[in-house]
Amino acid sequence: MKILIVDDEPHLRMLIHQTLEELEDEGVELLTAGDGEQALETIRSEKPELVLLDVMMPKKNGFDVCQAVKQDDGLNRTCIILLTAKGQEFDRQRGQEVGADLYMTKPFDPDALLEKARSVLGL
Amino acid sequence: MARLTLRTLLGAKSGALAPLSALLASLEGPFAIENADGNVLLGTTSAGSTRIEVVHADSVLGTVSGPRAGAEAIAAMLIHLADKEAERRALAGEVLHLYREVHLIEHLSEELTALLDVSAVSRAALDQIRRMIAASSGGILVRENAGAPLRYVADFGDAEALPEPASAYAVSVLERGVPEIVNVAEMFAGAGSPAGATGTAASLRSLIFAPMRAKQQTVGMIVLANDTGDPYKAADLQLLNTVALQTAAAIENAALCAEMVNAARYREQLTAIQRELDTARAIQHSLVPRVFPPFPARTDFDIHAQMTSARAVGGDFFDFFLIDDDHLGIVIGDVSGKGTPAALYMAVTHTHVRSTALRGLGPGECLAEVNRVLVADNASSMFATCFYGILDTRTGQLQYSSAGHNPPYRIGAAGAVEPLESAGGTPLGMFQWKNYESASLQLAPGDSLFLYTDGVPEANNSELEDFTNERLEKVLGLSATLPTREIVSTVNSEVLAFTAGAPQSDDITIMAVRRSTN
Repeated sequence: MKILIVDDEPHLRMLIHQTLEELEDEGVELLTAGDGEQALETIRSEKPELVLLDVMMPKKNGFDVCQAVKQDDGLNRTCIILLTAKGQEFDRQRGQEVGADLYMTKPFDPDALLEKARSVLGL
Repeated sequence: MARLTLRTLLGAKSGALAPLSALLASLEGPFAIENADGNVLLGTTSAGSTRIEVVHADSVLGTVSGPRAGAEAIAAMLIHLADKEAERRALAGEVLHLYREVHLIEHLSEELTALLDVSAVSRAALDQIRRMIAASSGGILVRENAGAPLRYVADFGDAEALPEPASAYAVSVLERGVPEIVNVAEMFAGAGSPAGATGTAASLRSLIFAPMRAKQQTVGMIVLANDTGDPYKAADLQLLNTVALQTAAAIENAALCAEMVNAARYREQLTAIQRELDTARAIQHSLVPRVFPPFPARTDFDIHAQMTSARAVGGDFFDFFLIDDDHLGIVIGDVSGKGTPAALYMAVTHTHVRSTALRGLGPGECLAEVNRVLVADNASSMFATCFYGILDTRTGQLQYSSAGHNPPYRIGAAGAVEPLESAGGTPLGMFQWKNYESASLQLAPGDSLFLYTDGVPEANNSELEDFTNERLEKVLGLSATLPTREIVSTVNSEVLAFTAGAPQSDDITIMAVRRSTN
């Protein structure tokens, strides 16, 4: 099982990685990507079960990545959790429109994120 | 956290695989890197080669086999990589911990803002802090005000393990207002050790206290206890202190809110009581005559009265009624005490006097009968003074009896003012007094009778001086020829002028009756 962590900010990638690291003991592989294009490439090549996707990113934003994945018959079962700054209600609506499975705000609750990842992966 | 292994170090993410492969290829080998299970991760093994263990944090991660010098160098490099990875992980763990703290504080701020109850605030704060700081038990101590003792408003875990609110630690933190870590080595005599031997440290209990400060005052504290043997650190103290500051502000808000709710409730109760008192006042005033002149067809006498209660309801009463065409009953009284109890007793006494008088009894007999009934039923230890007179409107003869009431005055037509001779007995409801004497007096045409309660001579000015009977007599002497309405209003004005706005301490009742000259 694979989880892809997508964020253009290295410290946030590291934080999410650290949050989920205990899943590695249960056979989960953690992958990372620093922009939307890299994310899309990794999703197509690695086919992760879960993608934690930042919204505001260079090259291709999270909405576009999400929409591309959800419109791809081979990938649309990938669970996508959008991560974005708090209080942007418009983003939440847009996230629903592009087919995101869940929406979490930053700063995220590490415990809640880990629990969600476990739930999606059936761990 | 995932276990640190050679496989992790050589994994795709580490970026170490390519340079290590190049290194192995450049050295004269063959070399092999095996993990702790003996699986070859990189290179090839050869018989008879030297095996060097890769040890990190007292744990063997695997081995490097090959010619000694090269194998040692590769093992040293792997150990260095393992150290760096461990360092990175520790740093990442610390950053995640700090991130959790930020999230906790932000989440707590939002949660606490929505809570308006001290216990709920305290429980929420403890729930959150337990997620970040290891604790086997914990609690929040609060004091209601500066002088009040501390008390636990919320706790978790073993309450016995928490310090008493009056303990030296808690008192010290409260007084000094600074956070504190206390490590307590719990001692007990080890099994088999001789009685009285020095105890052995069984476990270390670590306590952490963070004062809750709001508006420069310590309103309480958060206490955590850990008996796992791990002492608390400065970082724990810092975090708990931050949470304590937020909790203090929330508790302050909750207390303020409770105060406002109580004040509003109190105001509502006060308004309800005020409404009831207004109703009671209206009922009480409906018990005494309110229409003047009361007998417009009668020109043979003139009567007027006024009652002013010191409170919403009072204990004074007066009454007058025609027993028959030629006899006018006149009553004035004053119940001991003030307020609602006095008002109720006044209503009872007044009703008894009126109903008994209308049976045609003489003044003394009437008061004796009322006294008999009141003493028999008196559960409240109250009593009432009362004057009852019967004026023969044809002859001007007044028969009267007084149950301890202030003697009324006769005001002669020429201005002579004299108190009536004493006749009667004890106040009504006080003793089993049976013989209330009656006396009689002749009112000449133009003479008046002035009746009052003790609120008149005892009316105080701001220097606490009494109005006195002397002042009253002087006013009455100058009012001898005035209509009774004006006698009443003049006395009332003089009393008001004397008291000059000082609070009225007692009910004031004034009544005047004049035998007409025609």
